[in-house]
Amino acid sequence: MKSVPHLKKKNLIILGLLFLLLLSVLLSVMTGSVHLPLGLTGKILLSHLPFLHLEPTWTIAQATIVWQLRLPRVFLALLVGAMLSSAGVSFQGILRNPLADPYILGISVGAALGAASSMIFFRHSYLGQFSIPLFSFLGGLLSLAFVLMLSKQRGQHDRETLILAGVVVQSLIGAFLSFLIAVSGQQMQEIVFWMMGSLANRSWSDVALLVPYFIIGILYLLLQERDLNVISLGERAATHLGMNVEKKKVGILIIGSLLTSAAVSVVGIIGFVGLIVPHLMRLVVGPDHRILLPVSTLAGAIFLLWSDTLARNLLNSQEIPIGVITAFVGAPFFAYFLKRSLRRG
Amino acid sequence: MSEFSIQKVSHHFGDFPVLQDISFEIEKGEIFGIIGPNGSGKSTLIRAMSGLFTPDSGEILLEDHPLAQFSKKNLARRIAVLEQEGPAPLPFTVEQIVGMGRYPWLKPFADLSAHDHQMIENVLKNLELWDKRFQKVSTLSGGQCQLVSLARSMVQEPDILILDEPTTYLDIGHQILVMEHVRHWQLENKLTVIMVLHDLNLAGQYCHKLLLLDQGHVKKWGTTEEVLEETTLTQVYKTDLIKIKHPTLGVPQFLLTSR
Repeated sequence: MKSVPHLKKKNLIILGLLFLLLLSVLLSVMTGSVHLPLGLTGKILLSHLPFLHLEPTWTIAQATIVWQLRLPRVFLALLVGAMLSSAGVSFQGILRNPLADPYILGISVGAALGAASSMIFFRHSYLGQFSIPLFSFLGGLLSLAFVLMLSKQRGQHDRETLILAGVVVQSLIGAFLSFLIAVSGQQMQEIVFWMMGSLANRSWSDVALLVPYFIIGILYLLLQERDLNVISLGERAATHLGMNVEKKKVGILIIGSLLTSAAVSVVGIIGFVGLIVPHLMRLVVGPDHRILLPVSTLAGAIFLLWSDTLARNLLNSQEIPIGVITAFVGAPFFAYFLKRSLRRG
Repeated sequence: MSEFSIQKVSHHFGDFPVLQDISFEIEKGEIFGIIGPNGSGKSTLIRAMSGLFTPDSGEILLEDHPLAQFSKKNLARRIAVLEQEGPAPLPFTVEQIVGMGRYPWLKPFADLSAHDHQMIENVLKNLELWDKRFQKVSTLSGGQCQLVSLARSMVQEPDILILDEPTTYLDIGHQILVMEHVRHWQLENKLTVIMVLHDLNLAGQYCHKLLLLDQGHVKKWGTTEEVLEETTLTQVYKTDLIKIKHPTLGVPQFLLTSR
C-alpha cells in the first residue's frame, strides 16, 4: 500500500507517450512535399549520433531537408506544444477554472501586441531578436493583470466573470494590435502572417531561443504539482493548510504567462492547445497534477506536432496557418466545455 | 496561560461594525462553543482566529504570541479548520484528499513518507473510511464528505481544531457521528476545540464553555450552564424557548414554541 497505485500507472503512461512522441517525430520528418522513406529518414537522423558512423546512402539535398528544414520545425512544434499545454494546466489549476487558458484569457494576444511593438519599433536595435520575447512577456503580463483586475470580486475570481474579462481584454488589445499593424506599412504582411500562427520558415536559432524559457518554465511548474493539488480544495482551505495562496498564484500565473509569451513571440498566436490537451488528459489520468502536468506537457508536444504536420501537408499548393487547425479542433471543444460548465452553475 | 486570548477585538466591513470590543479566553483542552443569531459575527470571529485576516483593532494571542507573528505554515501545524461544507465535489480520491492534510508538515518538494502513510491509514480506519479510500470524493454523500474533511484535519495533527458550523448540512445521524469523533479526538489528544454552532442542543451536550454573540458584541461568556439561560437566549434570538433538562445527560436543552 505504500506506493499509491495510480502513481505506478504514471510511469507507464509517460513511457507510452515518449514512444508515441518518437514515432510522431519520425513520421513528421518523413512527410512533406518531398517524401522520404522511413529507413532513410531513420538513418539520416541516426547519423548525427556521436558513436555511429553510417555510410551515407542519401543525397546532400535529402540530409538538408531533414536537418535544416524539417527537424528544427519538428522541435519547435514539440517545444511550443509543451509550453502552451503546461501553461494551460497550471492556469486551470491555480485559478480552479476548467476554462482558464492563456489564450482564452487574452495573454496570447497581449504577448502578440508586445512582440509586434518590438518588431515595429525596435527592428534595428542591437537587442534585435532577443527583445521580441521580452516585449512579448511584458505584453502578456499586461493582459494578465488586466484580466485579474477585471474579474476579481470579493477576492475571488468567479468562473464566468474570468472568461468574460478575457473576452474584454482580447477585444481591447486586439484592437490595439490591428491598429498597430494597419499603420506599420511595409511590415504589415509579415506581421499578419506571423500573428495567425505558423511554424513555417523557422530555423534552429528559433528553437534555441525557446529552450531556456521552456526549461525554466517547466521545471518551475513541475515543482508546483503538489501545491496545485492542494489549491483545488479551495483557496481558504489551502490557506488553512499553510499555503501562501496569493504568492503561489502570482508565481504560477507569471510563469504560465512567460511560457505562453515566449511561444507566441516565435510562432505567433496558436489558440486552444492549453485547453484541449489538459482536458483530454484529465479524462485519462484524473485530476492529480503529479501525473496530469507531465502527461499534458508530453501530450501537448505530440498534439502540436501533428497539427503542424497537417498544416503543411493538408493542401498541396500552400500551407494552412497552424492556428487555424487548432481553432478548428479547439473552438467546438471550448463550446462544449462552456456549456457543461454553465449547466453545473 | 490560556491557549487563545482575544483582547478588545473590533472589525468593520466598510462602515458596518461586525465585531465590537470582543474579549475572551480559551483554555487548553476545552471544547469552546460560539453561538448567536445569523449575522452576529461568529464566522468573522473564527476567521480572524484562524489567521485568515487581521482585525482592525485589538489583539488575538495564541499562547501569548500575536497571531500575525506566526507564519502560515506554523499556524497550519497548530490550527486545523473544518469548514461548513466538506470538500468541493472533486474527482480526487478520499485517500488523496486526506493525505493533503500532511501538507504543512512536508519538507519542500518531498513526498509523503511511510510514517505519513501509516498515519493516514490509521485515521481512515478510525473514521471507517478505509473501504472508501479509492473512491472519488465527488461520489460521496454530504455526511461522508464532512467525515473526509475531519480525517484531513486529523492527519494535520493540530493542537487546536476550529469548526465552522460543522453539522449544518448533515442529517441527525451524521451530526452525532461527527460530534462524537471530535469529542473522542479531543479527549485522547487534549485537543482544544473551538466551534461555531447553530444548534443550541448540540452546544449543550458537547461544549464546556460558550460564548454568546449578539450584533457583534459579547452578550455572555462562561460555562455552558451559565450561558444557556432562557431569558437571555429568548431575547437574543427573538424566539420563545423552553428550557428543559436532558432526561439522561442532565444538560440544558431547548424546545421551540411556534407562535
